[in-house]
Amino acid sequence: MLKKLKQQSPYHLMLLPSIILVFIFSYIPFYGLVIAFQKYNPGLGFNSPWVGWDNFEHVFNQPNFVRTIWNTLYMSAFKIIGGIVVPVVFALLLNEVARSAIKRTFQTLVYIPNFLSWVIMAGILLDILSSDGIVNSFLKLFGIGSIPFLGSPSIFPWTMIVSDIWKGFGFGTVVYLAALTSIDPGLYEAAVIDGAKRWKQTLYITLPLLMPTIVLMSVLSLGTVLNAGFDQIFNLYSPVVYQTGDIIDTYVYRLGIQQAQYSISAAVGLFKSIISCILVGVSYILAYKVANYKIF
Amino acid sequence: MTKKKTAYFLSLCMSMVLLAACSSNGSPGNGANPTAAANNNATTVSNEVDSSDPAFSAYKDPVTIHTVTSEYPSAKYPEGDDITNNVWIDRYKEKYNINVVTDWVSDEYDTKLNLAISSNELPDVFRVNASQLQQLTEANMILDLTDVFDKYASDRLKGYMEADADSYESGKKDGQLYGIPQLHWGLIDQPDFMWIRNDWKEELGIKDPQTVEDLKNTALKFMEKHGGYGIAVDQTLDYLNLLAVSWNAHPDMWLEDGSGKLVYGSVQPEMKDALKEWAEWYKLGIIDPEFAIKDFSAMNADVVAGKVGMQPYYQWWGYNPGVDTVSNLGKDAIFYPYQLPSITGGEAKHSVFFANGSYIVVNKSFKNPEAVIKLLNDYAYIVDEGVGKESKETLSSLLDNDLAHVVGAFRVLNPNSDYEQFEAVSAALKSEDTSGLTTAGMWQKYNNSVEYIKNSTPSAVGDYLQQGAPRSAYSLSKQVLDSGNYIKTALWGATPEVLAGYGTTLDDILTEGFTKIIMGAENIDYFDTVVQNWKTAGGDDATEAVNAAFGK
Repeated sequence: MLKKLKQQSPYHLMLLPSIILVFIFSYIPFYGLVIAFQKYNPGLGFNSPWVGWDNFEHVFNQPNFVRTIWNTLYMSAFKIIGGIVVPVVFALLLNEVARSAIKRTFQTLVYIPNFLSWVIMAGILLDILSSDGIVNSFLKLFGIGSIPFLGSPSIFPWTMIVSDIWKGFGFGTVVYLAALTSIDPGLYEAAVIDGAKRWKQTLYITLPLLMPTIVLMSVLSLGTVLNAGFDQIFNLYSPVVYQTGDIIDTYVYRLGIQQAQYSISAAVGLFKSIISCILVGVSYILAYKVANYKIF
Repeated sequence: MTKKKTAYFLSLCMSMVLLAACSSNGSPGNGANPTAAANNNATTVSNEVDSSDPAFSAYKDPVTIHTVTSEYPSAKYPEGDDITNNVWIDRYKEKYNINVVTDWVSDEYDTKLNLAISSNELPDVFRVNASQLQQLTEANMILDLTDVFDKYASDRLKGYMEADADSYESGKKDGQLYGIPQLHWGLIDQPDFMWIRNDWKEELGIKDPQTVEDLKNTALKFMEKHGGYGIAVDQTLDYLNLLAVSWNAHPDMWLEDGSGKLVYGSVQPEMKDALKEWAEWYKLGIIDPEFAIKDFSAMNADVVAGKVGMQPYYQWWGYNPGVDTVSNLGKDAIFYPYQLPSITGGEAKHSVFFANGSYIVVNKSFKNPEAVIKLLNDYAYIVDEGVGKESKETLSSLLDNDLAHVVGAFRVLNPNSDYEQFEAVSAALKSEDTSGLTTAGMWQKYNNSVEYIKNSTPSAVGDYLQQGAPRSAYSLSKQVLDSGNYIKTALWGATPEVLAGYGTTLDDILTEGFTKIIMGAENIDYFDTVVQNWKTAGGDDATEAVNAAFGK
């Protein structure tokens, strides 16, 4: 045991800087959570008067807060599901492409939107999705009337979900492609000898071996279920779609941060962190119990 | 702050507050205190050169003031100068023996200042907004300036405070002055108008609108001739709401109802009348069918592109989108302002809001608060009395190229300046006698107006439409002010904490509901539901707080 520790000590030492960083920037600031229970005045700092649960009550008593939770949950649910299915399928398809030049070109092309910020992306989307933009002009060719992608409460969430998946799936694709290359080609050779065709190979070799990566990615993304994409929605929404497009973060932005109401923002942040923490824990247990897969 | 810019800084802001708060534990207040202590030794009662003139006397021994400021992007400095080192800073040193040192410059001034407050690294003198003033006063971090102001403020500076006594009061707590309001250019900049494209109007031979019906018909005629829609507005409803006064509604304003109680203008029955008509207009295609997803720049882009000929707007239409419109479409495409008519006949009663946005405060540990007052006196002197007493070169170097705006905390504006300026400029243009132009600002407006009249230079159209044109925004505003045809908001000072605690969510409920009514997704009776939602969401709560703070 001791010998093993001694053997591994260089590795532990290499880990140290990141542990220190995480400790300083992620654990020490925990102390700041007290302002969620205070009527925070920057001048008084942490000596601001205590108000207990008042900030939480104030937020949860807002009649529109429930609808923002609902909007957040269902938008991020679809974003997470789409964010797993689309890149997996795309990676599988791309993996079947024989010419590596084409493969790499597509891999790069789908990865590009990932590097643009939502501020820029929103400007582009506003333009191409407007009533005389490219998309609607194209639809007009087929006699379909102009669709208010950003102006209709029933369509807006889907515009958000689809555009978010489109922007982000390049990253997932790269991860899954990397996982695919690590699969032992011998398995496929054996399968061919047993008479398995492409489809059966995918079903019985590729997918099972890809599963650990898929589970890992899903568990990690569950931690973000209460972040339905502030940058995206903030830059694209308008009062007319608040009903279906307003998420927790945008709501809190208008409720508290715009007017420097730190306590309220901290209260909601704490609430979100606790829920996310529980969700990650639950998904960890589920992955172990259901898929018999241990992440760490 | 623009939407997008804010988005950038949101995460930064949240995380940095926590960090800054932590660091304050390690190193308490190492910012301005040492220098303040140094000043203490140097300063005695007799440090003034001429103690009979406290308002303008220089110091014998130098006094150092640490301040902070934000960038003023449109200012054009001579080679080598910047916001921390310019003609004003030189003047403070030469004339008063005061060294002004700028500790930091930031585009995100409020955020950065909040961090400075929470980490207890305050400069000596700085400007704050109303809620920061409240927090600093509560935390006992700033000086009581009552006596210093009384003793050192020049008569001119005191006159400013008399001219806007409400703002002066808002800087006080329990009768003591903690924040000196920086004031504003005057109430004359508040009335709003319908701006109508002139070549289209003349081409169709349309008379000046006298009634709401006329506005509607003008829009319909424009649409018939030029296609598209009639009136440009944006998703926030801020611009459409400017028209509400025509229905005697005063959205966003707190006003007295018949019984002496203060109520919110956006939820009064008059607003329902306005919405009913707007829904009709939307159906007719008068209001931009896509307004619900257009932001400020998208709205103005349509005006600049010549797609629309009417826009409810503030007095500064000429600057933006006016400059772009005239340079893009030519001088005939100029828009002129028209008084908003009232449905009950005559002209609409305008809304006037609380105009003071920032206050000058002094760190508790600073020993020479009177130095600040001297600099304020000096600014008022230069701007109001400089012409004739100082050389043209001196004034030009201090005020031109927007250098008049780089002084950060060291100025209080004359709340009558725009009114006096407009009177002088319009008289000079009429009589061609420029002897009445006594301030640098007057000369600027005059010169630009002449420039536009002679050469139609697009960049001068802003000043021309604000003051120089025969039909200028201020000529209409002056009528409003002179005839007292306006209502002042009852919320005359800092927003009560309860109201601030709701952020913009209360107004959001109204904007969302009103948008649905205008677009026809809900009928007009939905107004009552929206108002009920507003009340339960905190509107009642806020009304109570406003009444407690400002009611009689």
